[in-house]
Amino acid sequence: MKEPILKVEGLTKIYDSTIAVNSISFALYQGEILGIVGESGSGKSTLLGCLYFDITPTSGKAYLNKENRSIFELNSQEKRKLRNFNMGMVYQTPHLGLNFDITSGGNVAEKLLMANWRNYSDIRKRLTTLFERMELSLDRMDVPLSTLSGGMQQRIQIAKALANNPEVLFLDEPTSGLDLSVQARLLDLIKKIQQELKISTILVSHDLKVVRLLAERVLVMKEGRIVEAGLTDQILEDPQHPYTQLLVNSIL
Amino acid sequence: MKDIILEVKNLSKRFTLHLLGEKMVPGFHKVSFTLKRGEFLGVTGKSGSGKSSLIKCIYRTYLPTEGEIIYYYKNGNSVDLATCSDKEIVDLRRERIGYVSQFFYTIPRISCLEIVSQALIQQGIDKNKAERKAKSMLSRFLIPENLFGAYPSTFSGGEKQRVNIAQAITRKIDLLLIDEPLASLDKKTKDIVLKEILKLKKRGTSVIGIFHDEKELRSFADRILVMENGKGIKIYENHN
Ligand SMILES: Nc1ncnc2c1ncn2[C@@H]1O[C@H](COP(=O)(O)OP(=O)(O)OP(=O)(O)O)[C@@H](O)[C@H]1O
Ligand SMILES: Nc1ncnc2c1ncn2[C@@H]1O[C@H](COP(=O)(O)OP(=O)(O)OP(=O)(O)O)[C@@H](O)[C@H]1O
Ligand SMILES: [Mg+2]
Ligand SMILES: [Mg+2]
Repeated sequence: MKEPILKVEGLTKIYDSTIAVNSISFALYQGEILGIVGESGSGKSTLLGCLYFDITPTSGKAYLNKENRSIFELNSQEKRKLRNFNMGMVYQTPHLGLNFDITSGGNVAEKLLMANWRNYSDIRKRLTTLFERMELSLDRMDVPLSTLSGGMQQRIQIAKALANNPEVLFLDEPTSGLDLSVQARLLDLIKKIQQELKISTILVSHDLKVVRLLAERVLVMKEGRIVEAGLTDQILEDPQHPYTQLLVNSIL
Repeated sequence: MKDIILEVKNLSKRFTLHLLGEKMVPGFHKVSFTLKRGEFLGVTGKSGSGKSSLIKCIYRTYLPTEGEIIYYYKNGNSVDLATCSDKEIVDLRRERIGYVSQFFYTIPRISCLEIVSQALIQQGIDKNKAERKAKSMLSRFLIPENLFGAYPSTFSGGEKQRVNIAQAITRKIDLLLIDEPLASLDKKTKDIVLKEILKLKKRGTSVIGIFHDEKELRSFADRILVMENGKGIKIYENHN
């Protein structure tokens, strides 16, 4: 692995009474998939939300590439540019990431428009490529999103996230809520695409089996903090923290 | 230090089981040895004596409790595998250190050809060449060609084992950690696998191999480390 592409330092998000993310630091290296596991409410989505500018952190810094200014110090136009050109996000549920009032293709095109794609036929071509890559049949492009299955909707989210060729991809439980066979296919697809495109990826999942399949390194979160970080096989075979031991022992 | 690749000093591993009232389980205690470039160190000893734990610590699947594992790069730089960053370990695993586990974790829905070729692709070899090399190794290991595209989860124990070994040794590496590679093989495939491992050694790869049969080890290891109750009770040169 070469340089870190993203360095997070002391990231904190406090809501009135909860510290959702508590002083988190880590690095994401170029081309790797970094897994984040942890129980419900441990702050995983909040962490991704901060990095994708959906949520304003209370404090902390994050550096993309070798910029010496934290991404949180950028003005709103610069932030929008980073988000539209350099980042992709797949939210925990399709409803968070997609607009159900427009077609499935329209959702993906939206991301392209935000990344300044203007030419209609270029956009159409890109949509076709993305749909094919996501193994979505092309006749689903112009139908309302609500007519697609949950698994297809998640694939639309991934197509949207990949549309702008992002440098950094955030995946928040990309397979939750899907039945097992659909989960498996989607995970294989994510793995294939990540290997081909070598996009630096943060994968959030509460499921250690999912993380084992895709990530070489893992962070374990509990109550807003990283309690353990390590190579995936080490976390699974020699977990150090009591919480990680509980997590590993709970694998079905 | 040009001729030494690994220096293990007073290495210990203890497990703390937090869910069982902080129960401590000893893995192994204060093991020391050095490994030369191109040397084959055989490790043997009774079940539970800490053999697997020892090589898992070197590979960072287990975190050592105390001690050092100094790894020497060819350019003379060194790094302590007991304490260096995960990133450094990831790089070493991709480029220089191979590991064959005692029990093979089969990744679901990945064909055996992909398992072997991916390790090569990771080292920067192009896809076609990687597949060619992978196929040739699998054939040498007597994996029938009609199984190349199949998932190892359905393979026999011996076939799984050979895929596991092929995955680790088809690429060029400097250090091979290998845990009971011959365990579920018959005489014929045993000889083939052993021949390939020794070929790798001839090309300069150092090997730490666990074999429960000390007599067998004497026919090919350069030195033998005998473990008992978590201690390296003796280490001796093997003059065949
Ligand atoms: N907008 C908000 N206002 C107040 N509290 C919030 C808000 N968003 C999240 N929280 C709280 O912050 C904590 C972390 O939430 P977060 O959604 O990041 O958890 P998570 O790890 O993603 O959980 P899950 O696995 O269930 O998705 C929770 O206690 C949550 O209730
Ligand atoms: N992940 C682990 N967690 C807890 N204890 C462990 C773990 N791995 C090994 N041990 C313990 O460490 C000791 C040494 O085990 P190890 O697997 O290293 O033995 P071994 O010499 O390889 O045995 P075998 O020949 O049966 O494979 C044993 O008591 C074992 O129970
Ligand atoms: Mg969440
Ligand atoms: Mg063992």
